[in-house]
Amino acid sequence: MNPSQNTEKSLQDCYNILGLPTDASDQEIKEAYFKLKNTFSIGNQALYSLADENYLTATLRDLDAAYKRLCQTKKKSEVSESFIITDYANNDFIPTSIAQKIKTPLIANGIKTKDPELSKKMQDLISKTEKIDGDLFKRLRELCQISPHEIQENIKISVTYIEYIEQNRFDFLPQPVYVKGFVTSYLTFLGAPDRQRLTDAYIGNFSAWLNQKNH
Amino acid sequence: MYLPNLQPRNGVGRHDEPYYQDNKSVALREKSAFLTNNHEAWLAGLPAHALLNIPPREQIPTILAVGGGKGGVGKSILSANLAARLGQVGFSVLLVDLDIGSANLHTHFGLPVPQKTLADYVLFQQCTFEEVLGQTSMKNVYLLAGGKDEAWSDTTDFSTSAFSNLWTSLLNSQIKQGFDFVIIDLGAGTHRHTIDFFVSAHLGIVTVVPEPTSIENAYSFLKASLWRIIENVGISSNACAAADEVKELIFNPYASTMHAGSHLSRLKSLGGEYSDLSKQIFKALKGRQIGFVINQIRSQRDIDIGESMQTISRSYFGYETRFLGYLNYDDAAWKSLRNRRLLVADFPHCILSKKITEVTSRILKSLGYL
Repeated sequence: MNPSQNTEKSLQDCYNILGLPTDASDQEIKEAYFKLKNTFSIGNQALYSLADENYLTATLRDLDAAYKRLCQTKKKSEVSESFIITDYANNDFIPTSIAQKIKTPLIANGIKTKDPELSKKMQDLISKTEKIDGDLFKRLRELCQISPHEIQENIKISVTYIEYIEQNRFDFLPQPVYVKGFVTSYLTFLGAPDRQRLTDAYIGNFSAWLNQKNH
Repeated sequence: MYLPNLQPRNGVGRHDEPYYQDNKSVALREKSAFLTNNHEAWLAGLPAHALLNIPPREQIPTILAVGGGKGGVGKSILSANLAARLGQVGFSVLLVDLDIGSANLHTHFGLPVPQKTLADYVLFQQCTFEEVLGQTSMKNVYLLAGGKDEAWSDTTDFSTSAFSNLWTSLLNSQIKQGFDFVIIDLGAGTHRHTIDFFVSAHLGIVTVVPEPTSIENAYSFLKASLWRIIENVGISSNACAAADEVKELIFNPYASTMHAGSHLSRLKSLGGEYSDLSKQIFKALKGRQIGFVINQIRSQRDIDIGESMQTISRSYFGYETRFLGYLNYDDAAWKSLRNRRLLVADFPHCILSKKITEVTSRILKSLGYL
């Protein structure tokens, strides 16, 4: 048999095992793999009475082999692929390295980014900015490439409040004592340096605004 | 969540509110890819008695069968409310209560035990098909009610031919009565007739609740269906003996030289003398769809069970499976039953009604209507 034909066929089989078309993206491959791996894991309730352990082990082995094979082919072409995609401007494309960084699970205290380069950038931004307000927070967030929704999911603060904080709309915010908590966890999540000072400054602005309003 | 119903309780008017404003049924039917492309494959897998005198394909209603093996998993509630939703969209729907021996679909609509039932038509042949059809309070929904359950007990082992009139009438109901959909509410268990109607439907809906007993029965239901499909293919291609051998090979691997594994992998490894037959079996498997609805869910994990079962049935049996959605555990279900009103009419804003709408739209999508 022609060896090249052989590789082609087994690659097609790999996609079939994952139930994907051959033009599936990396993300789709990853998701399909995890989903199937969960589905056929021994002890899944949904398999009750149907399949025996031998069948499941064989299926999982096939699955792992297929995924490994697809990963290997991806690695070879990754460089050229990413090169092609970055040529399109404004395509909302996040390079895989950063995407992976965003996807990494939370560390216990909620600090998302521990990248020294990123902290340095944040430090620069903070030192350049004179006025400490919501706009600075927004720019810090954008520097980390994190969406308000992602923050909402992780620190459980409504995206509405996050936007009000960033827009300095004090009249829509709750009492300063709550906002202080919000801002602290927001900045902790971003991993921003000098958090205490930024929070105090923001709450200072807020309190001043409140005093003026009540006066 | 239970929302109090603020609308007046009397009057039938509320039932008649259209769910969508415009009537799209005619335009939708013309778009249906399923009916035009896969119909021949579907015919190949029909029960033997149904293969006689098949009318042209444009003139058959779309047939949905709701089954699932275990009792109390929501087959009747789903089929009644599904019919109501399809009726509200503008389709003309016939609902058939085929839960022989314990028919109660009329109660879901708040109707009394009807004068003319399925038994009068199928068993005693005392009346015509039109006479058994009854109107319901829901728009566009007609009910072929069961009842007189004691009548069936004398004829426990009634032959398949008893149903052949019913089947012919159902297939003709598009031309004669103008039904777009026929929804068959099947009984619990894997009785021959139950499976017969399940495998003859365009879309067989399997309802499961996230419990081992229900999951086990759902799989035995699917195994029985596969058994019946192979048998039907054997009859329709004049190869009954070969079909019996194939069944033995697939369902009893330890008695043969076939390797262990899934039913699908054994089917695929059939070759040589069975190659024609296995081709026909795959055609029949691809020609129909099996949908999963998971009922009484309380958490995300329960929903995952439904999705997993869909994937597993596809790779284990080779069915064309779909995950049609989930129905929450909701007090509205028993409350509406006690009120003897249909759920989607009694609690139109409860979460369960909304989930039924989602299931309906997925069903229409998987059949090519949307």
